Amino acid sequence: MKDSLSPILIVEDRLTDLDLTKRAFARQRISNPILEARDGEEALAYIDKWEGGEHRPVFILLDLGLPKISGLEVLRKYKSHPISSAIPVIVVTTSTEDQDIAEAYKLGCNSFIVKPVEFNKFMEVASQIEIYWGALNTGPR
Amino acid sequence: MAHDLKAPLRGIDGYSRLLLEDHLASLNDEGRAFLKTIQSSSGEMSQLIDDLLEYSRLERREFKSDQVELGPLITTIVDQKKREATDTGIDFIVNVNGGSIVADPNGLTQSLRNYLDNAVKFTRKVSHPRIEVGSKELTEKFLVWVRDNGVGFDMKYHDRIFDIFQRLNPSEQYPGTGIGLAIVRKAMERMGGKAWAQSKPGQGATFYLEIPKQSRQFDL
Repeated sequence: MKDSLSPILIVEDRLTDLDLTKRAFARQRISNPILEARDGEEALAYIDKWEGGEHRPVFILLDLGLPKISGLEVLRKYKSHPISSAIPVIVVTTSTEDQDIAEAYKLGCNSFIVKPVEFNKFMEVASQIEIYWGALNTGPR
Repeated sequence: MAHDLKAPLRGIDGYSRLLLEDHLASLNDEGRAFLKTIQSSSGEMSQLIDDLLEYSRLERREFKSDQVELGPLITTIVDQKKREATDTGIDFIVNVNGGSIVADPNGLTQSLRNYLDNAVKFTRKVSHPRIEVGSKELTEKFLVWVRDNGVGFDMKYHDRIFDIFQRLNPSEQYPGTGIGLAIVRKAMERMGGKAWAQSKPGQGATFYLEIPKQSRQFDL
């Protein structure tokens, strides 16, 4: 990881998925601090924190089916706000609906990944995400 | 937005795997066997959800009337299946004369894939597995078939195998959800075509698609 201080934000309402994602990262020896948001409101509350000077995440994992405010709406707000528009947002969802995929890309998501059921595959996905978005990719400074 | 039907399965698979990997010493052989059954059952459920979603998507999806070149389409699908089935030793033969039709390419592709999956599955236990894909142009339609030398079936079950959830073999022998052929029949009916098969037990099976040259949407 280029900047070990940069956190990773996981926006996920299901506790088991959140826990398994964190465990998958830990098993891949990804030691960045993990920020969490359990619904759309909590996800959007980070915008104020980043404006207040808190470390912005190296990337965001965003589920689409969120309580209160939908994942697509969160994505729209992240991508239209100057403080968060350059942060890579990786939609991680079970939806394979063409409409969701098209809408997510239209709103500016950087990648769309379908959540695998098997934990081993889930770990592979976690590893690939970190390698690409955490190490290989160079974002704006 | 689709329902997250698989979410509980991620928990079941994830935590049973963690239990197996991180707490192996606390489990006896029976405990490990139970966990493996939990994982394989979760895998089956996952496949069932995928197939059911595919089945229901067929009804909702907009039917497309595109010009389709049969030869290249069939060759591409068979090549893909060949790559997936390299460890099976199956001899794939394509004997297609080509031809152009107006049809729903997604429905056609899905149907051929499901026929091929079926043929791969039921040739698993024969010594020289062979799958032949052929086509023939008729007056107003094309006939496409997938012929295998697998276990075959008794024709008295012919109609049942195209019904959803119907299976002729125990799932531990030939795993499957019983949805694949139902998807084929539904896709064909939607484009005004037909799906049927001919077989004898132990003598392989031939599965046919009959596709009108000018397909249009038939609401079911």
